[in-house]
Amino acid sequence: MVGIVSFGGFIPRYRMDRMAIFKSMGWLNAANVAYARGEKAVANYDEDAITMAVAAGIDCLKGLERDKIDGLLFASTSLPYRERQNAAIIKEALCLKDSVRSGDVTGSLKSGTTALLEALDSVAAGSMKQALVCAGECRLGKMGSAQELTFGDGAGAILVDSEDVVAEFKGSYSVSTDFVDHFRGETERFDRVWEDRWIRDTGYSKLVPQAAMGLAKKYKLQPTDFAKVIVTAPTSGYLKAMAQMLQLKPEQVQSALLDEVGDTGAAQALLMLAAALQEAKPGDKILVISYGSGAEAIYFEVTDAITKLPAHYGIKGYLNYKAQLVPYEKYTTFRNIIPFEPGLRGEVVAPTSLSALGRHRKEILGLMGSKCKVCGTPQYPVQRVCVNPKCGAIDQMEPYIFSNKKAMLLAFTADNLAFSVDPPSLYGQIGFEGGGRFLFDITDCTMDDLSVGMKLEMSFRVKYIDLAKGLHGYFWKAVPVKEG
Amino acid sequence: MREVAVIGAGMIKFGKYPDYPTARMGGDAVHKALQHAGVARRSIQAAYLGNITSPTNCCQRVLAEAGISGIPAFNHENACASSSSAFRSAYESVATGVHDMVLAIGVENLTSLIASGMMSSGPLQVPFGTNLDIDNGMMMPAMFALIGRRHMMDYGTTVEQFAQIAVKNHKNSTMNPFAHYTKACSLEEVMNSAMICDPLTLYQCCPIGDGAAAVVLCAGDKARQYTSKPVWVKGSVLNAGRYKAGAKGPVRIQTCVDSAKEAYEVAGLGPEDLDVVELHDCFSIHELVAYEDLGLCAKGEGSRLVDEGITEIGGKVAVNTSGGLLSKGHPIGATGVAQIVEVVWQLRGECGDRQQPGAKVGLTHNGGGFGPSGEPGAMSIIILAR
Repeated sequence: MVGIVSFGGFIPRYRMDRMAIFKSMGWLNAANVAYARGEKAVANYDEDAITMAVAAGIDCLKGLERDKIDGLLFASTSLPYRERQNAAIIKEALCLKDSVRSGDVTGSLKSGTTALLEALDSVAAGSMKQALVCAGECRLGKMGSAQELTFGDGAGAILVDSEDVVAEFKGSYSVSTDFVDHFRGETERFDRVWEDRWIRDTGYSKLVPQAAMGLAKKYKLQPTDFAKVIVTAPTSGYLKAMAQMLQLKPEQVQSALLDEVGDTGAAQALLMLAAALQEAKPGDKILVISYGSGAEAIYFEVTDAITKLPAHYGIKGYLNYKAQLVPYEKYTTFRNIIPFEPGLRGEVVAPTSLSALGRHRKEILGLMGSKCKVCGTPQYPVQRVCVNPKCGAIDQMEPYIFSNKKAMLLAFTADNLAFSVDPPSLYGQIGFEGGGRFLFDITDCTMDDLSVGMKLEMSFRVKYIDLAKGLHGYFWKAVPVKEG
Repeated sequence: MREVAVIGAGMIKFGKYPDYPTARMGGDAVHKALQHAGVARRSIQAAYLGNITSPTNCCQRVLAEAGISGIPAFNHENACASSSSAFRSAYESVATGVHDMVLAIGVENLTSLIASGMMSSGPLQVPFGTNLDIDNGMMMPAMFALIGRRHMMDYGTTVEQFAQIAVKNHKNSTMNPFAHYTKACSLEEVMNSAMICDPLTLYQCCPIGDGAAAVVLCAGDKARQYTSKPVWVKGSVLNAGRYKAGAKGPVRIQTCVDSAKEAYEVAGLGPEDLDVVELHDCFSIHELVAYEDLGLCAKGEGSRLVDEGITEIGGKVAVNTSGGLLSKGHPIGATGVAQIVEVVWQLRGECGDRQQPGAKVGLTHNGGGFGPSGEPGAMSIIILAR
């Protein structure tokens, strides 16, 4: 039986009040007031599609053996790299084994379900034992556009296996067409979007039912047979209209989190699926329909194993863990939309040595340190000679992962001199549970949130961006432990 | 090992000199040291120089400005402790009988580097992945701010007590014509200056500046041919930091504790014998922590020394009579020897208004960089006595 064995999600901490965005830019397009309701989730300045996908992956893999994973797919339309496999960065961050098949799935809003189907089929075919699918999205709308209001940032992750599944993969139906409702050329930063009513009436309202009814016919079901129907949608108007068309009862319609998170693009289907599975009961039939360059429908049936899953922080937890990003100009600075003055200290970015990065990739991207086989002392960075003064053994180290260890704040400061788009920079000396001490950036909080002795956990983040070279550097930062 | 004496000490006024070349600054300091010692330049048999930012052969170029050539010349780089390291090598060469008369020199010109844009994003900027500590913000202000905040938490030390150290050192510098800054500032001014790295405000951070200093070391049996006031090198200890695992917390610099203990043993003296100390107050927090690590008081009691004025001029042990790194300045490579210059002048009673009455024994404390363990890369403790 092939299906889902675990799931996870991630929503960044920052929210923006859509009316506040409209108050800043609504003068340009007054009709956008139609989209100016609720909040949208926005990535912090040090987050992107990759880092959020890693966070969703960590949520998904909680308590699970990572060495079983031999397939990794990453879906996004906002990939930080066009060349340099984004999935390979996620692979290093999650400390997956080297013998993993990895790939980026991109180019369409339905990439999330496309990647999920590839994983399900590969596991069904026996060419993968266990496959992780991560989808992350951090899309950018032009200032004053509808997309600036509707887009939201987030990530979802699904783990696929052929044993102990919590939701069995029952079948799928795909529709692929070159229906161009928006596009982004090779050198463009922003989408070129076509007229909204034409997209809704000629595209979305035809392609989504085509996939839904195609699947229903193929498996002799009606949309009303499903306990939950997940339909991706850019706005709640689209979703409401589709529920009516498919004659779904309100309790059947899975929330697309549009008023809380926004349209998370290629990640939306997986994010909604993770949220649905968190509430699902054995025997529930779940239909996932994702729209983009056609549409794709996947059908799952929840098993008894769902009751035995460990507790996840999950979408619900993230919805309650939030802070407002104000003012609007802070957002445009975080995303480098309007040129800003970094000051002399922010001007120079030292060149990144790719050979050094290659040599230390597990240390930097995976936060992998070493543990002395003689005395058991964990240490970071990787050492050759044991740092324990009573030991000092040479070449007796084994790999040791720090990224999944809880930590305690030993000392902290706020640096007003160092360049940051979110000054002051917060640094802390961190002591890991089980041993090991290091200095880290602290993010997703302010100086007032910090106190010596507080609990922290590690989060994969963008450490710096070398704009001149188009290089995103990644490392781990400490964040306050979320309740629950 | 023979007795070694410092028989002459000189320095230029520290400051910002974008147009005063490194070699010329160093040469001028050497002239002053030779003049102070009453020694002809042909008597110098070897020279040891500390510097971190100049191109190769800095010592040779400094000596050329002083009209000295054809002798062994050594260049030492050990971060902020570079010229203390040079002094240590100079001391060894005389103590072991290799030479009778040598120079120890420190020199640095940082502002000319800034003018040429090399330091616009910090002097130690390195490519990612080659030094994780620095990439993660372990620049010096952050490092000491972390220590300070933890000290506040563990021992109840206050921001005002750290700031009071800056008040003291700035006050001392008003009496030192060789200091970079010679302006007193009040506790309010220190507290209200720009926040750099919480809780460190601007006046609690040493400035970037330029300077040079030199001392003449002489074999003990020949010292009295040149001066009636030789200053004896009772101990010169230099250690690299040990791995930190097992240390009790981030508020102790173990290498300093160990090195001071070693120096006291070598010298046959203790912290209670000290009259003057020039210590590495790169940030106010470091001075308070160093009081404790040097044994001037017990761990956690540094703030008491501040409150009771024990480290003021005229107190039990005057600390940083020169104004310290905070106000005299911190031209990296020049700092170690400049500290020795101040202590030599104090022990000879030549410090004018800032003279510590009856100073007999002095100590310099100079840390250099941070090693892979988070402890100093180099820690120099030198004990001098008249």
